[in-house]
Parts: sequence; structure tokens; C-alpha cells
Amino acid sequence: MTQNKADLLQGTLDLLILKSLQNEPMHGFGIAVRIGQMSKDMLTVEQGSLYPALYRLEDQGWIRAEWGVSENNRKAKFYSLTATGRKQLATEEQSWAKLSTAINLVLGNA
Amino acid sequence: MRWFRKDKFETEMADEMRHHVELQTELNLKAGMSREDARYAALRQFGNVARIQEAAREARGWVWLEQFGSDLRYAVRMLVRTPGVTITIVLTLALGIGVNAALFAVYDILALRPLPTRDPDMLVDIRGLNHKRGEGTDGRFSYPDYLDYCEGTEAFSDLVAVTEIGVKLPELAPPEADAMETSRSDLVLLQVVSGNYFSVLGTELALGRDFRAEEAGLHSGRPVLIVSHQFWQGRLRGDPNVLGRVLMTQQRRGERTAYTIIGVAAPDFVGQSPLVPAGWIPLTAGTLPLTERAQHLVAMTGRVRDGVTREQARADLEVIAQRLAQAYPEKRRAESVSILPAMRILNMGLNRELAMALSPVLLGFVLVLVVACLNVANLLLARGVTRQHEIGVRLVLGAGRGRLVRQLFAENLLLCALGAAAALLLAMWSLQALKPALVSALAAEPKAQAFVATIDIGLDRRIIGFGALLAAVAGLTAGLAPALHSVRRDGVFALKREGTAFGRSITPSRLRALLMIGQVAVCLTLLAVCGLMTGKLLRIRASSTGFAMDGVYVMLKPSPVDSVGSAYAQDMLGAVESLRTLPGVASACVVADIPLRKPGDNVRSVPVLVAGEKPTRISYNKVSAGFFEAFDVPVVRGRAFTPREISSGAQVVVVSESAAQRLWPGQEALGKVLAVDDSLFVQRTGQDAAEPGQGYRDCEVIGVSRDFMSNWGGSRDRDIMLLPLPPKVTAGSILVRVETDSASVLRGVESTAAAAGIPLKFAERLATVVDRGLWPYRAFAAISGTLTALALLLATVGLYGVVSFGVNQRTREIGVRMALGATTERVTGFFVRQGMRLVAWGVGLGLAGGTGFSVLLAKVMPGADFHGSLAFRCAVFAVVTVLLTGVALVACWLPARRAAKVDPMIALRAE
Repeated sequence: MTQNKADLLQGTLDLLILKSLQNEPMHGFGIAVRIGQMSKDMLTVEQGSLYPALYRLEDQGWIRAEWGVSENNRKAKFYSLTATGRKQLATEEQSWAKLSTAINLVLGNA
Repeated sequence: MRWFRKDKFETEMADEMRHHVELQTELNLKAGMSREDARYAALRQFGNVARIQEAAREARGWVWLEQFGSDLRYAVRMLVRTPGVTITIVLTLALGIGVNAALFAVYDILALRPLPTRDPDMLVDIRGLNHKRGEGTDGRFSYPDYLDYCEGTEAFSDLVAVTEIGVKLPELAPPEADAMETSRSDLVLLQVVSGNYFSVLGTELALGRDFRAEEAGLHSGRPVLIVSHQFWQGRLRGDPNVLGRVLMTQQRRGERTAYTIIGVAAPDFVGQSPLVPAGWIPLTAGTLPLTERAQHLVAMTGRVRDGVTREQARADLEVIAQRLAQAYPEKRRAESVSILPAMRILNMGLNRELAMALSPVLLGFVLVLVVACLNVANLLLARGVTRQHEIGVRLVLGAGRGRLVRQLFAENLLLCALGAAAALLLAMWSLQALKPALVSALAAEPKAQAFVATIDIGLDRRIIGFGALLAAVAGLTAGLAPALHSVRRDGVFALKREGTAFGRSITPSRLRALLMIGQVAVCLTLLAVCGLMTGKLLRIRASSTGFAMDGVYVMLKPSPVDSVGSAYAQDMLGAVESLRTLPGVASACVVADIPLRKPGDNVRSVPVLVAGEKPTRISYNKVSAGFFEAFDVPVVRGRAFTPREISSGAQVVVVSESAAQRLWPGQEALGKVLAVDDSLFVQRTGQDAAEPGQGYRDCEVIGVSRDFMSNWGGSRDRDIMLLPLPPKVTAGSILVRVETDSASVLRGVESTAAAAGIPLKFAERLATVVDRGLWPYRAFAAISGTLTALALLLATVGLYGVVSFGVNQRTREIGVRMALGATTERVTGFFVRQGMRLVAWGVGLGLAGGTGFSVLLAKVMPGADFHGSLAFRCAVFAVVTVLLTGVALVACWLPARRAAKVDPMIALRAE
């Protein structure tokens, strides 16, 4: 991977996954692609962290998995946000906003 | 159901990931790659599927448990595959944990197990203290004092008084036993208690009822008995009609009392001591001298009121104690009190000397566990090495190191669980099997032996818990290093099967060597200490006591409780006088304390004053006329006591040569005046008119006797002062020295004594009595010997294992060497040297440890003098070093010889 891509900050992956699922259910590959698109290819999600994160979020009850048919007509597992997942997304967005404002202030960019 | 879910989960996860790779492949195809390239690129991008799957599994909550389950199943398979190693490890753990569990079981019974009573936290034992004397009271109170405490206390809701008597049950004696046997097995313990005993302790009865007010009043009572459950089930054979049955008892002096059984105690209630009593009788129904203010008979236990602190409770009793001390200023009276939680007989935390004296023994037990752990660690390491290939494969295939460590840990856990189970069985079995030996070794008196035999040692929750705890600790400590060590290696490196070729791992791993050195060191430490103990014991036994023991018989002294009353007291001197004239009897005497009867350095001593000097303490004994002949201790200067001096209680003393030398160095002691603390001249009965004060009385030294040993192991063991027995002797032992050692003479002695009114049932040889005084040394030597033997066994097995493991690992190398012309001697020598190098290190460390240990022993037991002289210590250390080295040589040589038998051709083809 190229060096100029930003490293994913520890703990932000959950936020990104929840965010990418905000509008519609998606399968794992789709989530990875969506995060890439949304960040204009600045962020790449490693599969090695994506799937464990998905299973963890599912275990926590923030996302729900269902089997469906993908765009290429294959059986695929689609993830969607649960009600608590939506609340969690809102909280994480807020705290991220706070954090980034704070960091920008520290860096003198505000 | 779970397994079904698990399978579904696995296939779904695989499907999902395959789907991912397919989508990526399609994306790559669209980007213009060939089909092949697109697929490879997608796979490469995805990464290690197995590792991601593993990480994904772990992200789920219940996976840990599931992994643990599969780890355990795998562990069982691995352990079954190498039964030899498994059995060795389990047995090693069983030994190490077992001895400690056994020790705990004993300690639990003596000190830890809570009283089987209602709300035991509020119960305290109350002990009387007498600071001025430092000795005298054994913490007990007289019955009138008890009544005063009951009256006066506000902090306690109730006070209970307890004492005990030994009685015989003539009707229940086994008919087949002979007379001597009967006299011992027949003896049972009865607790004599105040009427509120059961209600205050708060225990239910299994049958019948508690004492009634008229049966156990404060001043009068009736002979009723509540028997213990054990006694009911045992001696009374569970008689269903036990209530109302009358039990005939006989006290030492022959008085018979018939007790009516009114109740049976609950099965788990055995009173406050580990000795199970036959039953409980009311204090006021017995023959005890309850009106005597000076007879400190009863132990007090009290129930503290709610909201009262220990300190308040103590202060409350202290006030009463001081008031009583002013009103009745006798000697030995309790002037203050101390309060301890009501526990079993041992109160380790409060008895510092005992705890200190036992600490080296405890350390010894711990050291055996340490050796066992080191040994197990070494075996696990060795097994880890043989499994390097397997672990390497798993590492290369992507297994996480954490996961592997956890798996190895599951194996260790299983081993430890097996070890703990075996240990508990071993502990219980050995305690049961050794109980008779323990009883006779630990209880000096035959009477005590009969009582100690009633102690019930069994497997209970607490002991199982302790065993499990030890196993967990042992498993963690012994298993951690090997588990980490096994997975530390690079997987690829392990795959090269380097263990069997020339290369890095030819030198055995440093960790294994360190573990082996540790074992040898600990083992030698124990050996050295055991050697010092045994040496000391042998030295003591070999040293001359300075008095005659052949043909001298001890008539055990009547218990002080029974012997109150002056008629009986005079009988004792009278009996001795009539014994002296008996044909065949060379001499007879009464002594207050039989020399060397008690273990250790605890002969009674008093302050004495030599004119113009500071007071100093000296051991003393009181003897009747005839002592010097009976013990064959000649008076070398001056003269012995005359009968008139004995009967008038004259103030004269005879001192031993050592004592004379110490008190009047370089001068003639004869005719000198020695001021002796006057506590010696005050009778304990309280009838004596003498003023109890702090003064000294002048005594004339009328004789100097040859030295004889009066206590074991002390530095001043031959310093003694002898005084004439007071005319009203209340306690003492009658000794006779017979001319010809025959049964008929003894029978004559017994019948003459009986005619004089003293039942002399327990005639024993003086040599036996004196030998029993050595029991602490013997017990110490026996315990440390057992522990050392265990440690030596474990270390030997460990050493054998390490060397034979090295031989196995290097079979190929040996083959090459022998093919190139190495002789069998060279090959054997090589392995033996390698093993012995470890032993040498261990011996060095062990000698340092042994020295440290012996210094520690000398600190905690100054009187016992285990330390010995430098030459003695060097000799002991040399002997144990030679012993250990010899054993180690054999342990190294056996597997090394196997190496020399390797056939080069077979060895080279072994790949």
C-alpha cells in the first residue's frame, strides 16, 4: 500500500463501518469499497481487521447480519445497522467531532 | 446444539470470505488483469484467510470457552499419547502437593477449622496472665474466680467454664485385652463443663436434652452425661436406647461414679479441642475441688455481647482480675487476662515461639513443592522440545502465539488437576496409614496417645480447596516458562528438525539447566538440614546422662487434681519408705520432676542470689532421701539430705559440680549460703501460712553432687540445684531401682504400693521415659528425613530425565561420533560430565542454602542448638554432598550408558 494513505486511527474502524451502513445494508466487500470511496481512496480497510470488526460489532448488537443475494447474483451476507447501532453511531460521530476539533485546536489549524 | 451452531458459523464465515475474494477478483478483471492474475491479486490482498478467520472467531464472545473446550480435548489426546511423561509429571505433582496437603490437613484440624457453634466469631477464649512470675498459671482460673467473673462482667453475655478429666470405663473394656492394654485403651476423655455450656456455644443435640438447672447448678449438680456422637456410635455401638443408660466410670484413684446419659451431641460437635471427648458432665457433679480459690482448674470461654469490641471485653475482665488479685493475693493468680478468638488448640498467630520453631519445618514442606515444580517445569520443557516440530508447523500455518500458549496451558491445567487429585488421595491415604505412627511420635504420654487417636482426619472442602490452590499455583509457575519457551522459537527454524542434527540446540537449553541446578540446590539444602538434625539427635543420644537408667522404673505421677488432700500426700513418702525396705529393691525415691522427661530446654528454674551479686536463674528439682542412690548420682563433697531434713523441710541444698563452678568460680561451694527465691517454699494448695512475697530465703549448701543431665540440649544442661521435697508432697513421681530386673520384683513393688494406698499402674522403665523426652528431635529428624528423601527422589528422577532426554536428542550425533571412532567410555563420560556439571553448580548453591538454613534454625531455636560446631557442620555437609553426588552419578550414568550402546548404523538411519 502506498505511504501517503492515512493510517486508520485506532478505534475509528468501528465508526467507519457504522457510518458506511447508515443508508443501506451492505456485504463485507461492499463496506470495504464504500469506505474507500467515501474517503476518496485515502483510507483502505484491511480485510484482516474488517471481518473481526464486523463479528465484534455483531456480537455487541450494533449491526445485524442477513443472508441475501448480491449484485452479481451470489449468496452474500448483508450487514445492517440495528437501533442501538444507530445510537452508537450518533455518539461516536459526536465524540469524533469533539476529538477532531480539539486536535485541530492543538495543532493551531482552527 | 452448540456444535451444530458452531459448524454453521464456520461454513458461513468461509462462504462470506470466499464471496469477498470473488468480488475482488471481478474488480481486478475489470481493471484488465488476466483471470489467473486477478484471482491471485485478490487472494494476496485478502491476506491469510485462516488467521483472519481466527481473529474473527475471537471477536465473538463465547469463543474463549469453546477454544478452551477444544484445547482440553486436544490436551487429553496429547497426554494419552505420552503416558510415561504424563504419569511422571502427575506423580511428581502428587508428591509435592500431597505432602503439603497433608500438612495443611493437620494444621487445619489443630488451628484453622472454625468451632462448630452458633456465631463462633463472638466466642473468645480467656486466658489468665501472671506477669510477675511469667510462669505458673497455665491461663486457667479457679471455680470461685469463674463465679466472680460471671457476676462481674458486663461485656460478656455468658461465660463458660471447661476442664477435662480422664476416666476409665470398666464395663466397656474389651474383654480380650490384657490388663496393661486395658489400662490404656480404656481411658476416655470427659469434658467437665458449666451447665450453660451447650446453650452458650449454641449447638443442637442429636438426641435427648441439655443439662437442667438442678443437674448442673452453680453449686450442686447430679451425675448426668451428654455423650459425643462419636462415642455413641463407637463404644456404645449406636445403642438406640442410650438415653437413660447408666455408665460406670472409674477415676485414677479408683473412685467410681455412675453417670446417667441424658443426651447425645450433634455429629459435628466435638468440643473445642481436636480430641473428641467421650462426653460432657456438669462441673458441680464431679469430685473436683471447686471451692478452692487456689486451684486453677477451669478454662474460660465467653460470648461477647453485640457491639462490644475485643479490647473493651478484655478491659472489662481485666478490672475483675485486678480486683480479685487484691482480694486474694496468692501466687500464680491471674493478674490480667488475654483474649483470643476461640479456636482449636493451636493459636499460631499468638504463640510466636511455636510459629517460629515450626517455620523451618514449613519451609521444608514448601521446598519439596519447589523441587516438584522445577521438575515438572523441566519435564514440560523437554516435552516442548520434542513437540517443536508440531508447534513449528502450527506457527507456520498461522496459529497465533497467544493461542498456542493458551493451548499448552490447557495441557498444564489438566496435568495439575490430575496431580492435585492424586495428591489429595495420597495425602489422605498417608495420613490414615501414618496416623498410628504420628500418634505415638507426637504424643509423649500414653494417656495423650489414647486421646490423640480420636482425632478425625478426613477429606473436606477446605483441604480440597487448598490442594486445588496449590495445584493452580504449581501449574502456573511450572507451566508458564515452558509454554512461552516452546512458542518463542521461529516456526521455520523448528521445521528444520534441528533437534536431531549438529547445531545450535546441541547444548541443552539454558533454562532446563537452570531448573536442574535449582532442584539439586534445594535438595542439598534439605539434605544438609536433615543431616544436622539427625547428627544432633545421634549426638544427644550418645552423650552420657550422668545417671543410672538400668533397672530404674518410673511410677507415673498421680494427676494433681486427684492428689489434693494431705492424707494422700503423706502416703507417697510413706510408700517410698516401705518400698525401700522391700527385698530386691535397691533404692526408691520421690522426685518432683523426672530428669529429661520433658522435651527441650524447659526445666523449671528460679532466681537465686549469691552474696553480693546480681540474681541469676538456676534449674532446680526437689527430691526425697534416696534420690542419690536411686539415680546413682554420688555426692562427691559434703553429704546428702538426711531423713530429718526431708521431713522438716530444712533450708538446705545440694548443687551439681557445674552449678557450683558457675555460682562460686574457683571457690569451695560447700558451706556457702545461697539465697533462693521463696516461691519454692510456698505450697500450691494455699493452706500454707507463708507470706507470698518477693523475698529470698538463705539456704546452706550441704553437698556437691556429680554432674548429671537435667534437660535436653540446653547449654547449661548440667547446672542444677537440688532441694529436699517439702513434707506435704502433693505431686511427684516415685522411682524405684531394682537389684535384679525381674517381673516378680516389679509385682512386689506394685502390690506394696497398692497396700500403701497408691495405685501404681503405669510402671515404666526410666530409659523409656527419658527416650520419650527426645521426641521433638525425633519428630524433627523424621519429618525432615521424609521431606529430604522425597526431594532426593524427585531430583534424581529429574536428573535421570534430563540426561536421558539429552541422549535421545543426540542419538544421531552419537552415531556419527562412534562411527568416527569414539569409544563407549568417551561417549558415556561425555554425558555423565554434562549432567554432573549441573550437579556441581547445584551443590555449590545448596551448601550456601544449607548454611543459611542452619543459621536460621539456630536463630529460631536457640536452645535446641541444631547449628552445632563448625567441625560438626563441615562433617555433615561433606557427608550429604558425597551422598548426593553419588546418587546423582548413578542417575547420570544409567542413561549415559544407554548412549554408549547406540549402534552407529541404526542411529544414522534413524532419520
